[in-house]
Amino acid sequence: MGRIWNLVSTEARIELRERFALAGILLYVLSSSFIVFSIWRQLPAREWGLTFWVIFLFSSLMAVLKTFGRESEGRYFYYYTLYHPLELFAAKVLYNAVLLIFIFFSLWFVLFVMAGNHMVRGWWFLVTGLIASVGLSILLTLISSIAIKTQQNASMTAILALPLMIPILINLLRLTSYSLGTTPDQNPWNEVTLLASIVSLVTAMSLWLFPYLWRS
Amino acid sequence: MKLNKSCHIYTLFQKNMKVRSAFIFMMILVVQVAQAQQVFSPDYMRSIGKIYVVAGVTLIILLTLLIYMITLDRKISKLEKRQKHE
Amino acid sequence: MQNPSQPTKPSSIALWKWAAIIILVYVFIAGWFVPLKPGIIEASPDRTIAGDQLILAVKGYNSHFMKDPDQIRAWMRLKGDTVIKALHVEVVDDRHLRASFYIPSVFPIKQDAYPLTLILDHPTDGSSVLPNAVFVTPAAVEDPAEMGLWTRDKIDHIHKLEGFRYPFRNILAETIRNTYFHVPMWFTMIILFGISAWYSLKYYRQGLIIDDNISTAFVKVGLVFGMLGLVTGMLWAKNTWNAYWSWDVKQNMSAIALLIYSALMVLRSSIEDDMQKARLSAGYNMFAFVLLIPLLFIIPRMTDSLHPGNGGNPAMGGEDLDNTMRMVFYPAVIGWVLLGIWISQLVYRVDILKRNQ
Repeated sequence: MGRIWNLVSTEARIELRERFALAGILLYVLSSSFIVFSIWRQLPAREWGLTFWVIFLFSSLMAVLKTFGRESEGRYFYYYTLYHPLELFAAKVLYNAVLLIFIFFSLWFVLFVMAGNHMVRGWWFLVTGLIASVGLSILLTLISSIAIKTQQNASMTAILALPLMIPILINLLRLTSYSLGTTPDQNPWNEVTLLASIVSLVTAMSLWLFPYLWRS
Repeated sequence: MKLNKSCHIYTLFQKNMKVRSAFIFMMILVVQVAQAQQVFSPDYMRSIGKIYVVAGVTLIILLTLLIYMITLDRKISKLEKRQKHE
Repeated sequence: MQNPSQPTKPSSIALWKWAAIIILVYVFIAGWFVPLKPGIIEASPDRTIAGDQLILAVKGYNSHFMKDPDQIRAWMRLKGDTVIKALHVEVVDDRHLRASFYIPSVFPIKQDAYPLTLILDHPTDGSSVLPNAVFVTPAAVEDPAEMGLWTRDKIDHIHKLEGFRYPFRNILAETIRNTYFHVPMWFTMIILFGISAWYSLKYYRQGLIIDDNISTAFVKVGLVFGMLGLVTGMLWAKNTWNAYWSWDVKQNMSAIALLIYSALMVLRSSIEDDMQKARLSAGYNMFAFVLLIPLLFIIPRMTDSLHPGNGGNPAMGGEDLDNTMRMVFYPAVIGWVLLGIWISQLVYRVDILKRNQ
């Protein structure tokens, strides 16, 4: 655990050294919600939820894109000899999850300021966001570890990850409409169970496959 | 294993001008007939208990698999040609 | 590699391939030529006012009204046993008849409009049903005495048509035959992807590049079958649901499955090194296949769908598939799957030959 923490803090230090990196993500969130808002003009509850997840999806893709691109190859070789791949994976996932949670809260704040509050069950939305951040960060970390090995890293991450994100996204939208009160459905536990099982499926597969994919 | 080259549908198609022009003529005819009967109008598709929908589905499947087979055939011919050169 | 100059005995075609051919021939013949049961295509007028005399022009399908015309009976059903019998049935020809009803001015339930189901019974054709044939709007003046008309008649001594025939369903009509052509495309796609994932697992375990070739071939052919399922489904949907794409959950999920596997092919084409390519695509393939399971089998069950077998019931069971159709549908699935495996085998044999040269 200490070793993983070590990696995460190294990661964070590298990221924070380039001050524009975090600010860049914030700017991305801000400007894309601005664009969406200037197209829609006003966001009713349902559209609020849809807009939220669309922006979140693309911002998270953007943020995770450089997970493995940041360090040089020599550094990875060094990591490889020093750490177990799963330790590296856990560190990356943790770091990305924090990043996604950061995006989640800043996006929520931005849309709250721009389009007002439509939340009926805010706690549920928080839970949704946390599950989404963890699930997507695992999925995206695995996919970007595949994509980094190809020539077109950025576009490949999007191509590989987007269709795989859809099952998660569908459940997120359902849970969001529950927390926005736009669905008559009174029992979100079905969706939560499904979402949790998809996320755990993704987790199990990633833990199994990452050491194999990472070896090179 | 020696294959008589002229047996190949592909070579036949490529070499023989007559076959090709006949094929094109047939295609034109099919298109003409189709246009005359307005194949794509829903009324036509839905006549006789929508049997033409079944015909369309079957045709799509058969034609696609046929085209897929032809590309496979072409790939194999290429391989054979390369093997001959070696 | 065999020496090309040496004459070799042409290898005979394996038994299961003959089975595929025979099964598919059976499926095509049975799928195309077994007739449908008689049914009702349409009835006009489709709306009337309560308390009126209704003369309904009924158009039959595959029907033989001219045979025993005086034994044809017709009913209008509101619900359960609440029926009215036709006063008189007049046969025009084999396909057309006119049935006259008196619609009572009062109804046992209160609604803005009453959908009535038409039921026909014929000694040789058996019984046929047209749901929501007529919509009745309530009468201005209601006569409570006519309430008794609803309970006077009963649907009894219904004839049943025996024999090897497919059921007539109202919107589907002949397109019910697509069950043997469109539906097995999906089964084939999923099974081919499954086999591909299995070979990816084999590659993961043993690292033989040949398993990668096999796995890729199954993905390629699976994609072809998936596209076929999509395109044929769109054609069928246009003529039953009136739109090529209705954003039905099953349509969406299948399109996503195709996207995922197309992404796999894009991934493969963007890597130069063979070992790298094999390893990454094996990993992605297994990952994708596992994620496909909730996508194709769990999410569609939780949402409403136009497709049969949704909202909790198992797909392809119950009344969507009767015993006659089962006798063609199950062989159809087996036949198409075998054909898919056969084509995949050809593809990977070519790929392996190409790699060895």
